Parts: sequence; C-alpha cells; structure tokens
Amino acid sequence: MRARDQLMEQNAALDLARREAETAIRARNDFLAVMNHEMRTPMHAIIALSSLLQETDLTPEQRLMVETILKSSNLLATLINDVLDLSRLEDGSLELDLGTFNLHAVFRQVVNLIKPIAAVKKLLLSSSLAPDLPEYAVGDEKRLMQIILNVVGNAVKFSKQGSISITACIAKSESLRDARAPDFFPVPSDGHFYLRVQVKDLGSGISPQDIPKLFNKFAQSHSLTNKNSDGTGLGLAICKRFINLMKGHIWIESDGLGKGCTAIFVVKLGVVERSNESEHRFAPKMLANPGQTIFSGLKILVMDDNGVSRTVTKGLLVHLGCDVTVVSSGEECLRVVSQEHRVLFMDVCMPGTDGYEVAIRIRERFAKRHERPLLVALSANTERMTKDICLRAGMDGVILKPVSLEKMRSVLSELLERRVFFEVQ
Amino acid sequence: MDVGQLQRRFLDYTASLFREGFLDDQFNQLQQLQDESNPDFVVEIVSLFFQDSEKLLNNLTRALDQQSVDYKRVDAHVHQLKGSSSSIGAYRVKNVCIAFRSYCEEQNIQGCLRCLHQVKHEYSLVKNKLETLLRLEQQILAAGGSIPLMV
Repeated sequence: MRARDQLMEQNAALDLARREAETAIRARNDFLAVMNHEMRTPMHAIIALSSLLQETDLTPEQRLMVETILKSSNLLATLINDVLDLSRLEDGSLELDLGTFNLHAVFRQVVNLIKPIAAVKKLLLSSSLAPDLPEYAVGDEKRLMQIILNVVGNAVKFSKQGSISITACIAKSESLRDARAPDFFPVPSDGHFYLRVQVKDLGSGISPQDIPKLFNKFAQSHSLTNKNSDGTGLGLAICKRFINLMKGHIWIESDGLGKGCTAIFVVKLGVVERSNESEHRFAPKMLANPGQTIFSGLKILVMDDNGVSRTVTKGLLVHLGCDVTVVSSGEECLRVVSQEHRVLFMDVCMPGTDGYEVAIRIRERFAKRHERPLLVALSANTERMTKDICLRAGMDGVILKPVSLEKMRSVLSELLERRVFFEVQ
Repeated sequence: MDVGQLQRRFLDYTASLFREGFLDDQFNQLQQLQDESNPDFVVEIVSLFFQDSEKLLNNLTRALDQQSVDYKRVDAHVHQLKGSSSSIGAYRVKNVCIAFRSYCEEQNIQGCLRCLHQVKHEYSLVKNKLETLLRLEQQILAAGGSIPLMV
C-alpha cells in the first residue's frame, strides 16, 4: 500500500512540476514577446535618429562619436534579435514562415548584399546555380536567406584574400548522407527536394578539433589575429537550428588552419506545383518577347526637385510603358500619393527636402505593406551609409543615379517580383 | 549632302564629343528614349537643361557677388546644376560642379569664383556642341533619314 501511495505521490509531484515548468515557459515567452517589442522600439529610434544625425553638419569629432553610436546600436540590435531568435528556437516556439518564393533570386540578393564587403577586402565572389535547380520553391524565404547570408558572411569575415564560391544544386541521395552525422536521415518525397548549398573560401581555415564547437552558442574563434571580429557568436548556432527546422543538416570541412573552409548545408524545400505558377502575378521571365513591356499602365510616382533629372526619370519610365506622375517636393508628394501608385521613386539628394521623412510618413499612413507603393530612393551618393539610412527609413530599394534604360528595366522587374531592390557598387 | 553623309557626319561629331569628355553615356541613354511616341524627347530635355542652367548660373553669380556669401545657398545651386548636368550626360560640367561643391564646403571664395568661371566656360562649350548636334539631327530628319544611335 505504502509503495503505491508513494508512487501516486510521486506522480502528482511530477505532474505539478511539469505544469509549473510549462507555466514558466509561457511566462518567459510572454516576457520575451513584450521585451521584444519594448527593446526594439527604442533601438529603432536610436538607429534611425543617429543615421539622420550623420547626415547633418557635424564637426569631425562629433562625426566620430555618431559613428560609434551607430555601430554600437547596430551591434546591440543584432544581439537582441539573435538572443530572441535563439530562445524561440530553443523552446520550439518558432515556426517557419512558409511561402512560395523565387529561389534563384535569393542567391542573387545574397550576392548583391555581400559584394560590396567582399570588394573592399578584394575577395572574388562567385555564385553558381545548377541548371536543374528549380526557380521557385516553397519554404521560409527570409530564414533561408539569413542562413546563406550568415554562412557566406563568415566566409568573407575569415578570408583575407582569395575567392569565395557559392554553389547550389539539388542534393542527390548519395550526397545526402554524411558520415559525420549518422542521425541525419533525409527522407526524399514527392513534392519536396533537398537544396544543397556549398560555400567555399580560401581563408584562415579551422583546425579539425574546433569544428564541432562551431555550432555552440557564443562560440568565437580565438585563433585569429583578426581581433575585430564583430559578431555575437550566435550566427551559426541559429543557422543550425533553422536548418534543423527545415529538416536539414549543416557541416563544415577544413583541412586546417590557413587552408580555407567549406561549409555545406542541405535543407528540404517544397516543389512548386504547376498550377501555383499562375498565382505569380508578375513573372517577367515567362515572357517570350524581351522587348515587350510588361509594365504597361504601371502607375508610378516620381519625386525630384530637379527639373531635368525629373524629366529624364519620367522619360525612362514612360519609355518602359509606365503611367508616370511627377512631383517636385515632399509636400506635393504626400498630397498626391495613393494606393494606386505601385512604386514611388524619390530623389534623396535633395538637401532641405527630406526624402527619408517622406518615406517614414508614407509608411505611417499606409499600414499594410501591400497597400502602399514600393519606396525606392534615387541617390547619387555611392556611400554604403546611404543604403543603411534608406533601409532604416523603411525604403524598399535604393538605386544609384544616373539610371540607364537597362538598369531601370531590371530594377522594375526585380521590384515587382521581389518587392525589394538594393543596388550596391 | 545625302542622308548617308549627313548621318556619318553626325556619328563622327557625336563620337568626338564623347572622346573629348563633353558628353558621357547618360546622353546615349536619353537618345534611346526618343521614339515615335516621344519624337522630340532629346530636344525637349536639352532645352530644359539650357533654361535650368542659365537660371542657376545667374543665381550663382549673384550669390557669390554678395558682401557676405551664403555658402549654403551657393552649394544648393551647384548641387542642382550637378544633378541636371549628370542627368543629361554633360560630363565636364558635372565634374566642375563636384569641385565647386568642395570649395563651398571649405567656404573658399577664391576657389568658388574660379569654379564659377570654369563652369560657365564648360557650360557654354557644351551648349554650343549640343546645339550643333541637334542641328545635324534636324538636317538628317529633313533629308528623310533617321538618327543613327551610337552603341
């Protein structure tokens, strides 16, 4: 009798403990959700205003201070995001955001984003997609891009010279099994395929015994003379967890220090059914005739206070078949802009008229993203800071002036397809 | 002269303008925008450029003639001129504007006056060249030909 009572007592105690644990997790998630918003709001304000401060007249000393503020706040923002992501990943509360997306475009975007950094370090960046890699796939586009960016970013960070090559293909079943990961059992099925991405660099490499620790949280490489590795050390840990969510696997190979590194990951993506393709409203690649304008009647608003420049931009867009309205000031722009305009091109070189201010106001006015025009900055300023400021102001794209006909054509295609376009030198 | 000769003369002249840096690729872009639905695009935009620039140059002259020069205002005008010249492909004018802006930032009156002089000079040169170019285009069209595009 006593044994049975004891067991029942123990069961009751365990049950209580389980319920307390669940309550604790719920409380933590609620706390995190609130903190998420509470922390991010002032963070955004600091970053946005520091960026705007940078654009004002500053003494060199002040400029240095503002740059430090910006760098620190960016780092802090990344840290907050990473920590929040990771905790949601740990407790399983993070779910993938599945949708149909353009897989090829993801790689193009990654290359566009990394190119300037690679160029500064004089690294050659190349990307090669296998011919049988489907153009569209079903999966979490944003997280997939985050994974690729992280892996490629690491390759760039730890390379002082040489080249970085990104290759992507459909994983064939033999290559899916990795001897180092005996518990990874890819299950090919109809309607799904495994994407295999390989990023190879000729950088500082890793000694084999350090490789398993790479995916641990807060793992930083100490074997480098490169002391300014700014990063939280969470990147790969988060990548691994996203990849696990995508029923995939990641591993790293290196022949040792100084001998470069190859990162390979495999993730499971859905195949786009034939019938889904009709859902893509703008699919420029399907048009047989390249000269045909698919932008007929596309309503566009152009804001530029320079008469000549305004007329040229209008001329470009009209030539491509768009229905263009021009305004010459921020106030006029805010008066005229409507949901019907698909894209707003705004010149951000205008001193005095703050193009960024207009962007912020428009985003406030149109709550839902698909209801407002895409906001694209036209800038003659080639500095990277400009792109960052545009991002913070909530722009969907930045193009460098002067814009050629071909460039405008491809910008519009990309914008309509991907809803973002960031050009980098 | 027959159409062929006129077109050749036009192409040679255009090539020389590019070679000597008066015009850059942006001007090519503008020519590509001229079509049946927009047959006078180049003439219109060049005229707009002339009007705009003449106004700006007058404003600049006045602004730099003041007892106490408002460099912000001067810079704003130069910025506009840089924008227009860049949009139309007036390469040399644009470059002088770039230098001009540095002098404004330094509040260097001598530098600014030198640049003003230089930009006026470059402007009148490119104005002359563009007028000649447009005249050649008119001659080709009047002779029943079409304007060849530089590739």
